Amino acid sequence: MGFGAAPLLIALGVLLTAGIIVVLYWVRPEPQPVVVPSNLIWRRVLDERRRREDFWRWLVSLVIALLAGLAVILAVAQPLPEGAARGGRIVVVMDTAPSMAAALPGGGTRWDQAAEQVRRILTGSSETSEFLLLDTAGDRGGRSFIGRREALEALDGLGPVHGREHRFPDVADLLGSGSGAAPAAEVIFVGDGVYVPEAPEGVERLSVFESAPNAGITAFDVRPLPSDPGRFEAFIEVVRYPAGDDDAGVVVLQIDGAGGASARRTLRPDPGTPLGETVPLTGFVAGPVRAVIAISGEDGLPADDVAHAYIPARNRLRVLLVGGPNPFWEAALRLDPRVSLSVAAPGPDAFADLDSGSLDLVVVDGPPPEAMPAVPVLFAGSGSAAWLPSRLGGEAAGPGDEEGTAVMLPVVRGQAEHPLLRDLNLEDAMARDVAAFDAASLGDRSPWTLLLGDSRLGLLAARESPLRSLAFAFPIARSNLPLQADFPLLLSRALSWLTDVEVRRVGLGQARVAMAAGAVFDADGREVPSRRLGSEISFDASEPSLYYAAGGGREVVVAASLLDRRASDLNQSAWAGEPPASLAPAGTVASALWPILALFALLLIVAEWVAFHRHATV
Amino acid sequence: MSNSQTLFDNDFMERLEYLKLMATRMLPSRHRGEHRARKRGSGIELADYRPYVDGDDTRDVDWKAFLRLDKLVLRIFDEEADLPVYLFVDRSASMAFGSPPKFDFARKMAGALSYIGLMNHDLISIVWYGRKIDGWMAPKRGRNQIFRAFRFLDAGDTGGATSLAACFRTFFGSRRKRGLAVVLSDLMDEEDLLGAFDACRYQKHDMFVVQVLTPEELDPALPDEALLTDSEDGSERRVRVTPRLLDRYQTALAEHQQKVEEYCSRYGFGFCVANSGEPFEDAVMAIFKTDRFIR
Repeated sequence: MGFGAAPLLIALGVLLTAGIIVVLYWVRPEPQPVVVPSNLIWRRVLDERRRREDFWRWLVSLVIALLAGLAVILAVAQPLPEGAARGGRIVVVMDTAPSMAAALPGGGTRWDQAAEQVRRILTGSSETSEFLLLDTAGDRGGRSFIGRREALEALDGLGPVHGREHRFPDVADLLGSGSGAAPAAEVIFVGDGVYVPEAPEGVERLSVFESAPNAGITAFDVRPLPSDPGRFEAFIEVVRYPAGDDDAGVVVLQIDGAGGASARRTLRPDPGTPLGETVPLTGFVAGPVRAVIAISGEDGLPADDVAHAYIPARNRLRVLLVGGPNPFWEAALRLDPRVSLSVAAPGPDAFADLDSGSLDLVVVDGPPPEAMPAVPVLFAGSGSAAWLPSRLGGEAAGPGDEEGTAVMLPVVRGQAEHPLLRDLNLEDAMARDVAAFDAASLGDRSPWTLLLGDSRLGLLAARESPLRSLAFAFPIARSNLPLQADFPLLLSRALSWLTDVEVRRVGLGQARVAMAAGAVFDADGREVPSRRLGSEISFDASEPSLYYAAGGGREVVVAASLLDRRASDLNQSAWAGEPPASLAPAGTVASALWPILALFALLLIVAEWVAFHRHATV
Repeated sequence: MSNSQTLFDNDFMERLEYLKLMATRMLPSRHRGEHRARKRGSGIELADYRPYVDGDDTRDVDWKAFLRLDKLVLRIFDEEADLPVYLFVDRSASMAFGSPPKFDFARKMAGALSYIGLMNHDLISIVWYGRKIDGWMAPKRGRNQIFRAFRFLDAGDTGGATSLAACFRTFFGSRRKRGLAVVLSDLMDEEDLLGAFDACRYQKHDMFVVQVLTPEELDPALPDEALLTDSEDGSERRVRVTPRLLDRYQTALAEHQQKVEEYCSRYGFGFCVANSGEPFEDAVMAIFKTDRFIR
């Protein structure tokens, strides 16, 4: 049997009870002194009486006092009946998957239900119990056993986590057994069985799963029209999971943009089948775009009903071309109506005084500057610099005939969906006089990412930070790239990609932005707490919204949306056929009985008083 | 007890005259000692039989009766002798209780017995005792010794504990003429009371025991919660007085008295209980009426 009350409270109760018993004897009237000739006869009477009646009277008195004391102690200590109380070491694993945020038909969420379950387990356990609170995200639970109060505080700090892999933690390893043997603690898993369908053998499972209807956005993107980078369209994917047959199957989509622009669609996705929809954002101006869906009935997961995106601005671009006379570059750049071009001869002074306030982009068609300019760079010259990708040796550039070796420009695998290359046809593109970048040096540890080339030859590389840049490994004029039909589109995209505000789409949860230093603001301009993690900054993006990260002359728009088909499928639970665990009784049995116990103790005290005055007790 | 006023005033003397008249009728008048002990004396007149007990002189066993009855029976002869009367008056602290005090009551009884004895030319000796013999009046005979006895009794005072055994061992340790020992006491003696009687009995003395108790001792009236303090040794006992407890007290007192009475009856001694709340002459008459005192 455990006790619901704190040890200090129990000790106080014991002292109080002892005090009551002592007072019971103190409050009895003092005997009246009587001088008698001799106690001889009285001694014989009392000795005889003590041998006989006094034993029973003493026993009755003792029993009454003990019962009264026990009742008081029980009333104070709140004992926990066997079976209703848990004790010892208890490991509670909380399912913190996104599906736990599902709203229940009866009100509240699965997480609320789970937290209440755990709260009752904690409060219903003995005072000496120890708890280890873990979550399925693996990084927010504790690492050691703690007391009840600390566990309750830790529970308040938990909640559904987005953007993480959820799995049942290795409890045996945490408990130190490590051998797979049964851990020396009671393990309880509270969840809905959606993300973490199974628990190890021996783990008590408390299900909070209840099916809930839901409709969610599983994909949302705003992208320029391939034919006109100045215009945008939105692609949205909607999925619907009805809970019953009375569902109308209608999902209303509303897309809102800056300046009051909006678009509305009525969609009828089949249950459980994603429905893609492309919506031209005609009339939408640069700025945030928000998509919201609504269904006729209750929606289980509000987080997937909203998705955010951002339309970059299309302002006039101030471009500096650094190179020798190059009519090709000048003509190509001047063809873009957004470009305001200026030309500078190559030389040490060409890159002096470059800053983002007077220039948006510099195109280098000659030797690169030693230091990376303070504005985005489109490099298509020769020579090397520390900030550029390293080049291979001369023999790799191709045979040394007069025309030079023609090298095809294949799109590096996995980069076909890069904003620069998406839907472009570069199958016939080739180049000569290639001073190829070392493809092997581009990758995880390099800021440059290879877009065109193969595993050895790097022909086009792009970097994101600290400023976006593009670097061709060959002169544009020595390739047939300008002759390709999609070259104007490639150049236009390159100008946009290099100069547009950077937009990153992230899921809900902890978001990371490649930015050495900076601050993060929400859509209302309030700064969001963030922290540096190496060359990145991390912040909490648990709510679907747009965030703005700014620092080092860069601005990154972060569109945080759930966009998780698994999270939206709230009812895909392995425990769907099981009834949800009933809530443990609040508090303890004894805590509800304490007034009765206290009354019982009072009655016993009165009985003792009456019995004493009737000489039934001593 | 106050000594400023004598116990033996005119009223007492008048009562003694009444007692003398009554005693004259009850006691045979002889110039020799009037008391005849139920001990084997020097006489030849067979007075009675009684069962043989350890310590009896086997010369007095009736062997013919033994052959007939297969029981040892002792023949008792009257001793026609001048036997002294020893009055042992308990002067312990417990005797100071009561209204009148038991001590005064006992002294009056002793005075009355002395008066009657001296009037009948008996040898009268009075002994104060507590834990030891605190004083005694040597045996006196003759009517002219009455006031000497009264003065001796008047001078007595209470105090201390009681030990009749120590007293008897001291008193009968010396050579004493065989006689009648009259004990006037409340018999609240922690020590071996019957052992004390044995000391007297072994010396062939006759004995009469008068237990003087107050009405409060016979029928206690105590508060519900009482802390009883012994007047002699100061010991305390806490009691919760209930009717049942009082019944047990009465029973224990009766057992105490019965034990003494059985002893006395067994050896032919006299025993009676005197209530100090009643007139002392009634107690004296009650003594005379017992066939254990007067033969």
